[in-house]
Amino acid sequence: MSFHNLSISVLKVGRQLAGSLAVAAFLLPSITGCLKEEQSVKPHEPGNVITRTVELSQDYRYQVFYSLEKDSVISRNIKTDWDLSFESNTEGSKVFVNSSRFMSASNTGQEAFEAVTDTSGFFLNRRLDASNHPDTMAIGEVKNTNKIYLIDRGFDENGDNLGFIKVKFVSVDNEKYVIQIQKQGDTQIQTHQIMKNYSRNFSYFSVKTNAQVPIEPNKNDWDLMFTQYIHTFSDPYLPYLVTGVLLNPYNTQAAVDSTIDFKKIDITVANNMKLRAAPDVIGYGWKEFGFANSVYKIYAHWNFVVRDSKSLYYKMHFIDFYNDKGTKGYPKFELQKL
Amino acid sequence: MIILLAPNFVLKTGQKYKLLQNNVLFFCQRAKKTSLSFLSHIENDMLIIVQYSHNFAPQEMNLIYMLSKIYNITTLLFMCLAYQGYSQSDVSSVNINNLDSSFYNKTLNEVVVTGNYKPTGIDKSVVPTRIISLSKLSPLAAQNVADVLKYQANLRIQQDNILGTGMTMQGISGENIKILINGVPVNGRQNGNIDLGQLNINNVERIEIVEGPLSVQYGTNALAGTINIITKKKPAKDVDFNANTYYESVGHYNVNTSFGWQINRQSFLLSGGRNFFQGWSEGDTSRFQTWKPKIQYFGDVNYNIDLGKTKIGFMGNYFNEFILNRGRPLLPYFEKAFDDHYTTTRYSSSLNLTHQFDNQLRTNILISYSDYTRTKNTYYRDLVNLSEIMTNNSSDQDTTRFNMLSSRGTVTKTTDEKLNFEAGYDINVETGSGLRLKGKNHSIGDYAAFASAEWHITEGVTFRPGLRASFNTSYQAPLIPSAHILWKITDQFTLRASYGRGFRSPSLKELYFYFVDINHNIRGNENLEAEKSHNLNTFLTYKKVKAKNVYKAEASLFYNKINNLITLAILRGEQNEYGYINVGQYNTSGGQLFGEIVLNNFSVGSGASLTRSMNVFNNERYPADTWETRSNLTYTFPKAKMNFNFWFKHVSKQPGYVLGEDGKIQPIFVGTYNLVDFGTSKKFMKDKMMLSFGIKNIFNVKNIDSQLVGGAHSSSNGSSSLATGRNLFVKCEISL
Repeated sequence: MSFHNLSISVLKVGRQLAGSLAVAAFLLPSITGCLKEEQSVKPHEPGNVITRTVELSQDYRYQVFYSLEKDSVISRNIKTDWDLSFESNTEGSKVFVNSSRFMSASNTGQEAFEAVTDTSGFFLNRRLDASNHPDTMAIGEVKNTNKIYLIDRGFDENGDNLGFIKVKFVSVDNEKYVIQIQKQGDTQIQTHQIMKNYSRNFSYFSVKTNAQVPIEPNKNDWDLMFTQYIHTFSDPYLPYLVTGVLLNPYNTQAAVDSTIDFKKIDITVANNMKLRAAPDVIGYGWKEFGFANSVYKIYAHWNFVVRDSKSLYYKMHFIDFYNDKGTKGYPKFELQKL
Repeated sequence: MIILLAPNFVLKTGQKYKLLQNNVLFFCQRAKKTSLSFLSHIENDMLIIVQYSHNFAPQEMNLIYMLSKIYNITTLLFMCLAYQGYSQSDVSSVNINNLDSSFYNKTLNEVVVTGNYKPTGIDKSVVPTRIISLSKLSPLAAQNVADVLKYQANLRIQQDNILGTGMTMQGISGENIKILINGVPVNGRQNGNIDLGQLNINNVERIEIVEGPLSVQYGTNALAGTINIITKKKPAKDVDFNANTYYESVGHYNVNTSFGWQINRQSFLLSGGRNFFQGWSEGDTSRFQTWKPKIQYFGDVNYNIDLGKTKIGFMGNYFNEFILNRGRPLLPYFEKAFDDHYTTTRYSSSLNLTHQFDNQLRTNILISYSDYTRTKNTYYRDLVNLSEIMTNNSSDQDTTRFNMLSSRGTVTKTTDEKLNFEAGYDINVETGSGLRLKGKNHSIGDYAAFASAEWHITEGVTFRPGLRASFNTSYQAPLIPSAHILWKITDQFTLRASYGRGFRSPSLKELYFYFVDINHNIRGNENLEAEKSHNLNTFLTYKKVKAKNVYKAEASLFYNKINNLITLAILRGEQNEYGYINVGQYNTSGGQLFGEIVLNNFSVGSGASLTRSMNVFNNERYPADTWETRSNLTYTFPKAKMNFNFWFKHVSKQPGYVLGEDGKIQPIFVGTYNLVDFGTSKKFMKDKMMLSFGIKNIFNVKNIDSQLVGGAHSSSNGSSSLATGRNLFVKCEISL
């Protein structure tokens, strides 16, 4: 077939096309579908409350100490800054691992460092410091123990495992703790003193810097600690790292209510609430991760009343877990002094 | 008088013809020597029709009638000729009195290419193949491969509104089904599945389905079965224009067009279109929609040149899809929301070369390159001022890219004697990159050689053994044998049986996945072995043609056993570390019965199938049975050029088992449902225009009860999306 014939055929098709296009014209609207523009919504009225955001960052690396009275962050640290915390009052003799990193410990029953040679069986025997089970502790009381503890240093903010240490709690008195540490892959055994600081709840020791480190501010100066911590689910048993708020163990109490409107909570309502001193009264449950859409959902109707160490009352509720850029790890709450 | 009609004959005045030998009138556009090698078969008073496919254009039908009348011809001899060649074994003869349009579509020797040495009549194919001819589906207004497959037996479709449409065949899903377009593997799997909703059928001629492994020919993934989508290669006429528009009341607005022409030995086909879906949610008026809004753009180019003994074809495809997942407004003030934007782009191009050395020896070489990119972006949208900002959460933004270079070559020797051979190579090199692949960039190379022989033991019995050996850069590739038997017991009864080993190589994701952050610890495993399977299939078919009536029946049984099943499992209990491991065994078995009767203008088909899946965990067996029935009914009014179609499928509850997070075996299930579609179409304007309308999903199925995950975080029984409820559709097709 020649090009001339081809062009004649094209012309023919063109003529037929013109005819049938007219027929098909009524179908034209059907091919022009497109996405509709959205209507904007009206912003809410904030009212007589203040709104604050605390930065934990998206990998929850920060531990943030917050004061309700001063309405500000008193101090913050990265969660890899410390490993062990030691009760710091005169009588105190309990030791805790850094739960924000999912640390855990197991009493090996051995007394000599050389006798502990591997980590087999560790995951069966290990214990954690879960905030909802304060009675089961990873290490706990160290007054009369001379056993070696095998301690899993947990995960850093990238999820990488930090390895193991072996620790022996040599002594504790009114002023200090004495411990011995052997790091994984190290033959050397180091001895350290951790001095009690009576103005704090805890003294802290860092394996990374091999030294006592200042972490917590003065215990009278803060109320809430924003951090990751361990919550133990049951049925099935599952210890899990959650992100939330723990109370200052020193004279701070809180209550939760989801039945009364936030605006209607005043000092009278607050006085009638049953305050508790458990560390996780505020906890992590004011938000929930939706597996279906991968978005944290906020339960703003969970209202909290906090009584600080000076017996001042505050009400607060969470309104967001994202910052203005949509990054997670930025709890935002509304706060009002009662 | 003998008249021979060769490929692409068109009735027109001044048609050239040649007089050959004794009274043979030869109509064609270009005479080829090879076309005449079967002339010894020809008797007097025959009209011989040589066709590229089994579809006839109306003008071709007219020509056949006219010539038969003029030359007083009683017997028609059909030569089935696909795009690559044919031989005398594909000839079938029919009496002129049995000829009408419905007859053509039902009985004409349909041609298959998947797994065969050369295009072969479906009755003669050693490999049991099902053909879905797209022209038959026209009244149902199927828009993509998912629409086409949902009424097929032993096939189940699963819908995920973000990942797309997946499929289960013989009780085996996802990764174990090979999908080819003209023999070129489709890459880019999400969660193991190729999204069937991304495979448009605007320029598809037919779909060939082979149940059972074709691993010898096609390598990995072809374990449960192979689906080969055959596109139109050439325009039906010298100059050919088609335009289709489609509207469905739930909010589908589709349009596509194609334009093709032929000049001498060359042919061109261009097509393209746009599909738009506005999104749908039952009863929910917020910005969130269960079925996500979607826009697709696609285009295809086909070029073919026929140089006599050598044929060269080029194919290029482009596909782009945008899915907008608008999030629910966030509590408590509904001023913000997260929106996910998913963009998928597919490019592929392939070059196909066929050379016929002589009557017996031919070679085919296929080279293709495919590129798949899927981008997920999450935006944090301010609903007060309607601005949005891309978030920087580690898991929010991701681009996954897979590209694949593959080449297959075969040398085939086909004679009419006892023994035929095929030998070939198959090379696939795939690279992948993505945020969650360890080291970000990986490649797998698979280099294989395969051979098979077709041994015609006696007149009716053909035996075909095959073997594939391969070298793989990432894992130990198994040696794959297969054997097929075809026994033509009588003219009506045919028995096919096959044994095959199949395998599935570990995917790049399973080898190199890396997702470790503060909440997750999931890692790929570079030491995975391939999943290996044994498969047995038998098919007994009965087909009888009597006058204008056709009677067909089919019974089949299958058994699959997969070892080394790759499973995502918890590795270190309380550390929550997950990884892929080769554990477990999975068996499926089942059978199918199907019957079809065509009486004049009426046809009815009905079938039922049963599938048993057997999970084996720790030597304990967990059986799960499911069954389905399907029927279709067609009535044609030839004078009015109208037809009516009903399609029905009942799918029973499908139970299953998964290994839960706590190591316990958890039961899962997908609930029962019924799908019924009705469609009618009528031709206008000298068949140049066809209007179809109908009702999809007459029983108004939307969600089905299901529980798909076990474990600690699972809620109680949920439901999963299946369809968007009852909808009307209208389709307009114009072909000039």
